[in-house]
Amino acid sequence: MAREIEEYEEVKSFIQDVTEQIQYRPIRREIKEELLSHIEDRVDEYENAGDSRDNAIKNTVLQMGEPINIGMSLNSVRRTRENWWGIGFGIIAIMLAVLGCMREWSEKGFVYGLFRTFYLPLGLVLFVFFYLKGYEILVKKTKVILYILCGIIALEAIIFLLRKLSIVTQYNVFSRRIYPILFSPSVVGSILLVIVPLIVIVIYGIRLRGKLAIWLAYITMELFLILSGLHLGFRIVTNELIAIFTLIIVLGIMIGKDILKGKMKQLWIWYCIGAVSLLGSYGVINNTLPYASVSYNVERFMNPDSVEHDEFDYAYDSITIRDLLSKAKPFGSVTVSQEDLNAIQSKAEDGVAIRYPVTKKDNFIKDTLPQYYNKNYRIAYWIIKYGWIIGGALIAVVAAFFISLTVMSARIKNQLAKMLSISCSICLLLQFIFYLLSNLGYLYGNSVNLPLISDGLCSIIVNTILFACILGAYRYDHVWNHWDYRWKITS
Amino acid sequence: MLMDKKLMSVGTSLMVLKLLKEKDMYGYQIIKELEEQSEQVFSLKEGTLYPILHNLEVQGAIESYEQVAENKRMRKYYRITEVGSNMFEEKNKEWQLYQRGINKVLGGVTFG
Repeated sequence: MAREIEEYEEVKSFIQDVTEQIQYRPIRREIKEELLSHIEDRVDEYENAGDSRDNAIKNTVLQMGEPINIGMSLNSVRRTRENWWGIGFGIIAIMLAVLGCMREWSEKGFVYGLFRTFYLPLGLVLFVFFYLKGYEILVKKTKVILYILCGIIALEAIIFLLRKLSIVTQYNVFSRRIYPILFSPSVVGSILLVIVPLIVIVIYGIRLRGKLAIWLAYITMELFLILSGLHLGFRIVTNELIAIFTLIIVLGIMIGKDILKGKMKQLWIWYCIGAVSLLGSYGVINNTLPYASVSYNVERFMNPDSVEHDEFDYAYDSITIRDLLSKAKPFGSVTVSQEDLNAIQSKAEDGVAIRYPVTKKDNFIKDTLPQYYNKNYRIAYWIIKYGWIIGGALIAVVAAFFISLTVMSARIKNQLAKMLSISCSICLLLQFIFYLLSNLGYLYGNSVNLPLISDGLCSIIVNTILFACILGAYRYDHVWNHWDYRWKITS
Repeated sequence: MLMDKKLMSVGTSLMVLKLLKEKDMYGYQIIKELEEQSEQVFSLKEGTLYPILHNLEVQGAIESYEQVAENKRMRKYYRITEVGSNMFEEKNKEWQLYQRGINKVLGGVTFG
């Protein structure tokens, strides 16, 4: 029986010399297989021409060329690449976050500030892990991701049913500790932001059946939206809209770029039907819930005065922000005279709702800004504290960061990496847009965080992962082949 | 006959794209087709071909897929993409221009 080609010393040595030059180890096997297949074909040619096997192999290996040079040439093409601009911007964003947290340390004490800041090193660890390994794990474990998505949906449905039937509510540990954390608005809202990239990876695996992919994406999103609403009893409007718009945009790109296969006209029709169904059902359900209807949110967005009912709702925040911004100067902090302060105090004494007592002129900004301004109104704070010019410059830097991430994602060549990256960057960009609008006094839905910069455990974790996935996809653009990721149902 | 390497590198990507425009091929097949169609003028060393193929793939000009070959081993095929077709048209025009220019000079046109 003929020996396997790779058992021959010459072939082993040749392959080893080539693959040792490939810096990124996981692709060495792919290259080895391709070269071995080629060597076999060439050896067959020599044997058919009358050569002995040993001679055929010797001649083939000579014919292949200098292995070190081949390996180095392949390595120069198939290597990881870093996006130093993206990493640099990310470092600036995190430094802004730290600066904001240092303010908390000075205002509320070192221990409190440190406790609120611990998630930044956690975010850094997650960033490094997902940057180096995230893309590889996500694209190699597509089926695991599908099982995870199905698992989350099933678990949420089961827990909801069990609670409805009062089967688990008797267990205090679950009801009072586990459930409130797992299904808190922060956690649920964060999951919504991260499922779109996961959905994109899953449907990429069935891209040859475009119609199926489109419906799977829409149905998965619909299920997540329904379950999140059932568990919370209210809508996290902005996070949900960001998830929906990101999915619709990315699906449209996948159809336009011919990534989802099928008759183009049919795909667009199904895409539109699905988008209208998703948005329509979302709107219909929201209209039945307090503070979630489109009309209420549009009214609050445009005229918060008309819907404000007490000092603890978001409309009050918008009014306060608009009022403060109207006092902001080109340079320097907003100031008030003692007369203005007395007038505010009088209003409070007359029963006009003011959230916090304004004690001194020096504390005016801190006392007047909405609660959690460090998280929800950081941009507004910059403008009010430092003036429009400085605030505007900081906005420009942050906007450039998120826009450059989106542009970088669009330039990725590998289709799967591109789609993953685009879905993550659109998610970050939409969060920034909603955040900026709310910081100018135009809030739609709930408040969101400024990705990577705002205070907030779940926000830091989720947005760090999204950011790392973008840079990771770029890093591995030239290394991984997207064709690998196709499920058996498409063959 | 040994060819000037620079002349070779300009044309190799172009020739690979042209072959893949005709049909999907695997690496060994590309080398044999090149030899046959060029009447043995171009005999690429295998080592030269694979970096070119991988480079074209990274640029999005071609894409690869696997199929089981007769010897039961997985064989990697390449096919041209729309980006690759456009790239071919562009490179072909440049090459035609280049070729015409050289032919005009070599063809004995003198000035002065």
